[in-house]
Amino acid sequence: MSKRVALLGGVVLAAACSDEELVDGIFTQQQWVQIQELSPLPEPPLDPTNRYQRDPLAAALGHRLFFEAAYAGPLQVGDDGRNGGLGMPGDTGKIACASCHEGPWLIDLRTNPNNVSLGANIIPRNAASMVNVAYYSPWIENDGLLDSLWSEAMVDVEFDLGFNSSRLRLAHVIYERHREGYEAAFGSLDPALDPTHAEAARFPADARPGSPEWDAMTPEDQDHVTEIFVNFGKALHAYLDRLVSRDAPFDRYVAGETDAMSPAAKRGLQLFVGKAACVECHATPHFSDDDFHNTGLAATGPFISTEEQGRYDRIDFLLAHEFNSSSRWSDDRSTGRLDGVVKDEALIGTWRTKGLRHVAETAPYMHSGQFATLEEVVEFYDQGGHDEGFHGTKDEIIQPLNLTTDEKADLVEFLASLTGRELPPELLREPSD
Amino acid sequence: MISPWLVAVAASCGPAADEAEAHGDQAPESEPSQTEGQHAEPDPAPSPAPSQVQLDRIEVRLGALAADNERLRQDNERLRQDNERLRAEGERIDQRVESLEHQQRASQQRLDGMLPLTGRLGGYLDVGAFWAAGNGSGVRPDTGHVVFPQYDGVLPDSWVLMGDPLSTQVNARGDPADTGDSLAVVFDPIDSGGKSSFIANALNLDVTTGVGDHLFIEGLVDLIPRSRDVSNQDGVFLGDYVDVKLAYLDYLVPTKRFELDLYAGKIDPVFGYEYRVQESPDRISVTPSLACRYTCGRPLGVKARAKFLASRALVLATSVTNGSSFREGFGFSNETDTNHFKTVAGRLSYRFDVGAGLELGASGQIGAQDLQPDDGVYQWQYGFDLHLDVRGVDLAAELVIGRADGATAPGEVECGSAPCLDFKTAYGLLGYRALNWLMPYVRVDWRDALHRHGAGFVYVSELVRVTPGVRFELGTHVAIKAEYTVNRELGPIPQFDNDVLSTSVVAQF
Amino acid sequence: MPPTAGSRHPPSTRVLRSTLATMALLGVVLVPDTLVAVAPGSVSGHVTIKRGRRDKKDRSNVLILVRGVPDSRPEPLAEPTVVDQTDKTFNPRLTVVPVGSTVDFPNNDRVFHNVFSVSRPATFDLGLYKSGTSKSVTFEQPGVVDVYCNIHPEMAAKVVVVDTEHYVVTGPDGAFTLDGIPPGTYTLVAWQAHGERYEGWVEVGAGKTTTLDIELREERWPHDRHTRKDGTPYGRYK
Repeated sequence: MSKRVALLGGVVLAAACSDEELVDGIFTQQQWVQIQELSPLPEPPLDPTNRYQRDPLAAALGHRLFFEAAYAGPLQVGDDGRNGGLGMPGDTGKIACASCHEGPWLIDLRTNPNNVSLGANIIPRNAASMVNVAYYSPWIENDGLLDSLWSEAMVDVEFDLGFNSSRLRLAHVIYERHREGYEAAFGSLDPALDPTHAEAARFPADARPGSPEWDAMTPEDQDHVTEIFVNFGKALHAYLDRLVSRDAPFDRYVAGETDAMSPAAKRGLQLFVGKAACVECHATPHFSDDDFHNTGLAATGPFISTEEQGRYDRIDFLLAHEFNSSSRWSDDRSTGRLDGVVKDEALIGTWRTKGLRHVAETAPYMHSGQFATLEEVVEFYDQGGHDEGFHGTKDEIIQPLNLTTDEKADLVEFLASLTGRELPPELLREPSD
Repeated sequence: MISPWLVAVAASCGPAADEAEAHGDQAPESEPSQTEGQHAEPDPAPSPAPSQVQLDRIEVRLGALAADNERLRQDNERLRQDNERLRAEGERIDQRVESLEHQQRASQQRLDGMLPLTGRLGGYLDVGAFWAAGNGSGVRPDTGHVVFPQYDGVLPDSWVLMGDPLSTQVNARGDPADTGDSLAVVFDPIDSGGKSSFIANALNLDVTTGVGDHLFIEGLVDLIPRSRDVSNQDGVFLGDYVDVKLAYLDYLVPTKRFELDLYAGKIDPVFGYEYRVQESPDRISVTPSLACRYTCGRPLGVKARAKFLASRALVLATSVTNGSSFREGFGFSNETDTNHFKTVAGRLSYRFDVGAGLELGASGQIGAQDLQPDDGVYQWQYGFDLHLDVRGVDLAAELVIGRADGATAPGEVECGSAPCLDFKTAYGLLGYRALNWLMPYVRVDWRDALHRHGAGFVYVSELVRVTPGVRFELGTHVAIKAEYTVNRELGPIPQFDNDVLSTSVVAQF
Repeated sequence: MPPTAGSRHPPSTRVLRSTLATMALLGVVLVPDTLVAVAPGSVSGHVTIKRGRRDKKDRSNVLILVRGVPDSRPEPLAEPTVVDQTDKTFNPRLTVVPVGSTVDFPNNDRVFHNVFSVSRPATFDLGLYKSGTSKSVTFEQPGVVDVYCNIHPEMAAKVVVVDTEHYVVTGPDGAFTLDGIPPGTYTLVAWQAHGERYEGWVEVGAGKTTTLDIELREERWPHDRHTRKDGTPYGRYK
């Protein structure tokens, strides 16, 4: 008997020699190193293509312009009493950035159905949150339409489904309503932009490249207007650069506040960096690897195109784009962002990884807005994506995860712990002065 | 039969000898009684001399008396003989009755066994307590691709798993204490998270029915009580479940030259030795070996087992089944098949006459890979086993080597279309029945395996375990087992906490 | 006299136990008185066993007995004979005892055994008993008793109960000698556990030794499958 006890005792002693020291009793040292790569959230990355990114004057102008609707073109789809339309068809001056980016998290709270956004017409995409949007670098939008935030901010102006407007409309409105702010940040505007100016005819009221009015303009005047347009984008970028939400429970937890997260959220974190391997793509402190993946999503939903092939469809547009990082409007053409960007078939059906901060507040989800809840999103990934109905080849990393019901709930709980502090209200409303 | 002779000899010496002669060849039996009669009744006193007439009359009278006497004697003798004969007859009848009663009892017993069915409900309850170190799981992710950098960029680091997901098994069912970060072994029936816990491993029900002498039906079912999270609205969190382990019929073919059994249903496999002793009461140790996952699975199909030679020492078993003898809980195998190429398995063994037997066996198995729709993706394994039972020593050893080919589509990460598995595993279990109720044992098992599924997961296992334990038997119905498993990773895999202490109380009924 | 006649019978398909039972019933034989107290004779000889086409080297465990000897009332053995259980094997596998004798079945394994028989001459179930303990059976009826263990199907033994003292079991060389048989003509039986049986007349002369060589054919594929005590098969591979 005593021999047996001694034997077992010896075995126990031999076993008690592990160097595994767990953080908070949960995470291995290596896991903790990985977790620390997700927090804290630093300043948004500096984009050398916009030298005004941190310019307060530009940011102040951008703030105003975010709420400016005067330059919007005629609505194609009006309010039918249900869709949250912005006015009657043909109405102009009804659409602002803030029309589709409102509330504390700057998302579309208006359009019905909410998976898409109704500007001049229905934009068949789920509107992204503008909070922490400045962290995406360099690819902006789900399909990586552009390679800088400032150029992306410009795109919707002349996009018929968006503002259905033109750079001349915009230039006039800036001259008329934001001249002081603009000139403080970017320099003087041509007085001929004043419709009462003697040479006002040099700047037609509504013109953009491709229109006869635009072609009639001198190249110098064209450049001036385009510069205003570009500065509009850079000002908006400067504003968006300030829309940073930090100090989520997750950040406080990583900083050492062990009870900042619930046990379920901690389990979710472990799954996030472990078994579920979410962190493979949702990496970095803004939880996106800024890369493109085919998750095997069969896009569905009202107004959602099943033809879209994500990144692949946008490569030609991006490479030829007037305002890409290699264009003359870029403040640094040597970033090399477009080096090696080719229309590779491997990009068919790929979409850029979405950041996950305050994701719990930004339903619905996916570029199509087809999932109403995070539970559905987790379920989608747990299944290893859809089996068919998507374009291209599903990324091999999209695998069935075999998560239990509890584990899925834990993951959702963790995602909720990524919601940081709300922005100061003054940043979220139109400046009063 | 001899006694009349003796009586006759004695009579010839008596006083009535003359008279006996006078009566000539009268049966000698009559003499003794007459003599006795004279002795018994004293002679009457002589009266005055009788006349000749008187004498003649007396003579006649005496003659008549003697004749009467003789007749009575004969009657008496006849009755005596009858009596004797009847007594002997009675004895024989008694014997016969007793023999018939015996026969009847035996017949009744046989009859009960045959008509219409004879059924039995047996089973056992297996409860225990365990503790598994660390998080209860036998694997750890290669966080940061530190140990196996070759998988960096191929699949997430958390899906590169080192160790053996079944190395922390805590019961005879082979349930690991926790599946932890495991991906392929996704069924987490205990989910202990590395905490110590009591557990009701299974309430086992064994329903057996013999239909006549040649047909045997068995159903073996585990009722498994597991926690259910009642606060979970979905309410699907594992919960109690039923595991039908065996459901087959066995036709004992009445052959003379060899002994043949034909099975159909959910049957025991034919591979190796351990599957025969995997039920908790039969298993010496608490937990299965590392090899059991490949050899203990109970597939669906048909099987034949034949025992040859006069000694029945040569045994050949073959089966054709859905899928392999991999255990379902391992996640590699399934009951229903997904391909047409059924798994063919066989085992040939010879039992040497050493002690209760020294059995050496060789097994092989090949079929389409489990869970794969393609008949051209193969899975095979072969192995050798030894079992010696002599003078209280029970030694079992097995070696199993196998492979599932897997499949890779062009341009895909390796084994992306179907998982690949390469394994070598062996164990030796030595038990010594020191006393009727005490059996210390030690098991050493080893496994070296690479299990890959494209970008989905990689398991790199190389480990050795040493499991000392002790088994107490309280009577025939209760066994108490306790064992400690020292779990050591080999090769480049770093050590982590995954030792296991496990106990089990098994009560049979 | 038993009704059987002729010097050599074809192998009987009936099991021996029924023959012996018949023998028991007809055991009382009338013999002429003149033979009493005459010097007894003996029978000796050799048994050879054919297995297939070959002669079996081991000719042991053949029971030779002379039937019909008058007044053959064997005394039960004074001491119980032993059928040991070690390494899940009965040892010896064949035991021959006179009627009324007791056989001990000690368990020398460290596992439980359950010895039983459902044979007609002796139906018994000794129940489970453990190492170092023993249980006994007294055999009152002549015949062949198949003894099994209810747990271990591979355990099998035979106890043959005879109602004569004129019997002997051969050793490996197959030689046998039966002494002390009153002169006369009797039936000699040679019996083996698996295979045909010999039965023939033998004449025993006063003070003489009759020699007899017997050839037996052993069954090549002994059919020994049995069920448990309740008539059900043993079930899963053990």
